Amino acid sequence: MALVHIDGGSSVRIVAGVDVGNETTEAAVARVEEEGGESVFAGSSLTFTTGMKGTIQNVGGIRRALSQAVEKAGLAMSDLDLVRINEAAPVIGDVAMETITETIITESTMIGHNPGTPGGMGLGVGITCDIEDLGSVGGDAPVVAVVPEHFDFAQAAALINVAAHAGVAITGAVIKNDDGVLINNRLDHKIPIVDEVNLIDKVAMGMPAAVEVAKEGTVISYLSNPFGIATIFGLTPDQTRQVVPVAKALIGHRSAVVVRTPSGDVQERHIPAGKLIVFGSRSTREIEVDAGSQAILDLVEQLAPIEDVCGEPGTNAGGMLERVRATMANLTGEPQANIKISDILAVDTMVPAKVKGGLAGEFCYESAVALAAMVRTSRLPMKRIAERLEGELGVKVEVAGVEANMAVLGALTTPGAGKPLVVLDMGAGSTDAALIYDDGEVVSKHLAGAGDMVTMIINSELQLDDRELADEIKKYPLAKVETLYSIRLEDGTVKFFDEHLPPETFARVVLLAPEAMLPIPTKHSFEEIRRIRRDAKASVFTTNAIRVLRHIVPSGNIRDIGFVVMVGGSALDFEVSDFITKVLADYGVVCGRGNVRGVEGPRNAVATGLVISYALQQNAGSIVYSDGSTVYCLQEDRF
Amino acid sequence: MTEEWVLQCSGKATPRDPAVRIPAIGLTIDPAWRDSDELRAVLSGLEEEQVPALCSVGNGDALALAADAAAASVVSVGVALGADGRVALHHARLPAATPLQLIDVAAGLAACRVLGTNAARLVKGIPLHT
Repeated sequence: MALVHIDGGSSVRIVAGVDVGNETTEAAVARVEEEGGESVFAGSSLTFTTGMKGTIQNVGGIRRALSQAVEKAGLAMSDLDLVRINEAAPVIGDVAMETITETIITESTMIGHNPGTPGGMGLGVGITCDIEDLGSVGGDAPVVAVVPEHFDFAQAAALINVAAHAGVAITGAVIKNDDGVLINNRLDHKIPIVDEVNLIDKVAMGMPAAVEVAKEGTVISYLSNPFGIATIFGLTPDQTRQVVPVAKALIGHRSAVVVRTPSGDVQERHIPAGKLIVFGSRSTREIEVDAGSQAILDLVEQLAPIEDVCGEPGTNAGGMLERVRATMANLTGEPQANIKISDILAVDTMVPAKVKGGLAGEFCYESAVALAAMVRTSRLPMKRIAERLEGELGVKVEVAGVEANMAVLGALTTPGAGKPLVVLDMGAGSTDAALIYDDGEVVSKHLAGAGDMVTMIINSELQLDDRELADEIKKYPLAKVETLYSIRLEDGTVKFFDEHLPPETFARVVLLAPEAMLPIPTKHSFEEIRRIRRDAKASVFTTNAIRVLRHIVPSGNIRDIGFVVMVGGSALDFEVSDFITKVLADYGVVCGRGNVRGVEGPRNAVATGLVISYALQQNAGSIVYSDGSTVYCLQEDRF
Repeated sequence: MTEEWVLQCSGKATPRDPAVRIPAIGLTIDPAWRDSDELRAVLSGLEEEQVPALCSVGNGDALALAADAAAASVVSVGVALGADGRVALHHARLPAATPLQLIDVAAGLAACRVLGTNAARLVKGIPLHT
């Protein structure tokens, strides 16, 4: 700190800035010299927010953030002269997802499925017949043998061979165990065999059935085609319409079985997704959720500024928005009627849903809409938090400054950034932007949808049912374990290891977390997981970046912006900031990840801004700040 | 059963042609297991996955036999049923003392079959059975 001179005449105060966000609480501690002196940033920290943002539970996280920052600065809590907390933006985001179609394949038509190693090849059509009853089949009607679990492959193959020699026309087999190849290898007359049919007990006997196995490396062609199914079972045009979901669920499989009973009524039921009612400041309009995300976003933009959004009662859309409203009412203690939704972001997704009537846990892709909603509350009770903190610490605590203004002050310490500047704050719950003009005036906007929404989309599209894992997939790059000693990375390069990798990771897609390699316990391919992750990020963050910039630029023209500095937790993401830089480069905007005070990266902008705003109040002219080794001097006109 | 034979990927057992080094899993069995259900279970695991194996009879414990079989295998994977009543799955690039899987035959026929399945999947490069 050789360059920091503390003038004997002025007094030094230790000031901390604290930013409570949806997910993280950040602090910055500085020695601020009054009357034209320097501000020396000595420590900063990042911890998890305790409780929901804006509640008294936040105090725990704030205290932890403060003590870590103070410790890094080589100080004690008792050295603090002043703590400044942000006037948190009174917006809270929430996310929800609803499927708008549902495929039900009733027990009267059953389908399966896609085992790793089916047996034989071709199409077999016949009446289902228990393997024990093969001997008593009369006539020459073709049959499909059904083999329950307690028959091993040798017994099953022997029974089929005996029956075939006796003249029974066996055209295919459906079996419970993973024995397709083993049975096929022992048959005198080869037939297509689908194995690993878990719910074999549910297959009714004496029903028409079709078994199809495609050649290695190819996919089935009859049972994935509605007209193929119609040909096999002699269906009418009306019945053919009903088997479309069956064919759809079997597309891309190497093997499949379809069992049909007379009263088959498979249907794709469209759940009424319902209408959204958008209340703009000038007019109110309704839109069907089915219309898709783009139509919803267009309407929201057209009606902006939005005063509230409701869903049609009794539909998924209605239920979803009411849940968001109820959560917020609960949190803020305000009556539900007072909670207004100020923005929504809709994203179209496909979610795999278990097929009702599947024989082995089949999945079918259903259309779904993911919605993020932003709720404007009256001011969050930051004052109460400040009072509690002051009581606990015995240090003066003040609620200072609007969050957006503080973020701008902090972001402006990024080397190379200048006015007019937009701070794009991408957090967990919301995407916020603040624009500072040449004259220092600041305008800001908060939009629904950020990191939490990306996590939700990954979670449902990959059918993980594990938010933590979805969050890890969002955060860490992928790799495929190719040998016991090597992995292939996303860019195609191969990395070798001296020690062998754990066998449970072998041939799996893994996440490269900092300390460990986490295998992803699903059957999804490397490419699929990567595509879903990147699409989720792009559909939330690039959409929102463009949306929020259009909102705050007075001309509505993104080209009029000089600099965009990205800050917040999601700006740390290993690819989000690149997506946005690329998109905005097309508009000629200088856009990049922030580097607060030249050292913090995209974090700590608001906490730093809180300290700088205090220093600016004390000093009329320039402000000098330092991080120990490097000293930066900022003229007041920079802020 | 002869001293050395090939389990082909079609499931047929044929005599081995010593002149050809076929890409196959090495499977060594202690004579005690020559005609056992445990051996049949391991073999059916391999057969269902359609990966060939080069089978031979040898004396020793599972770990050492499997390590040797892996070292001799063109695909670097070895399986053994040893005199010690254990079944081992080994890979030539693993340290001799740390096999990929080592089970007691008392674990049951299903476990023996899974070990065979995993040997084949190791060669194919698809996730192991858990």
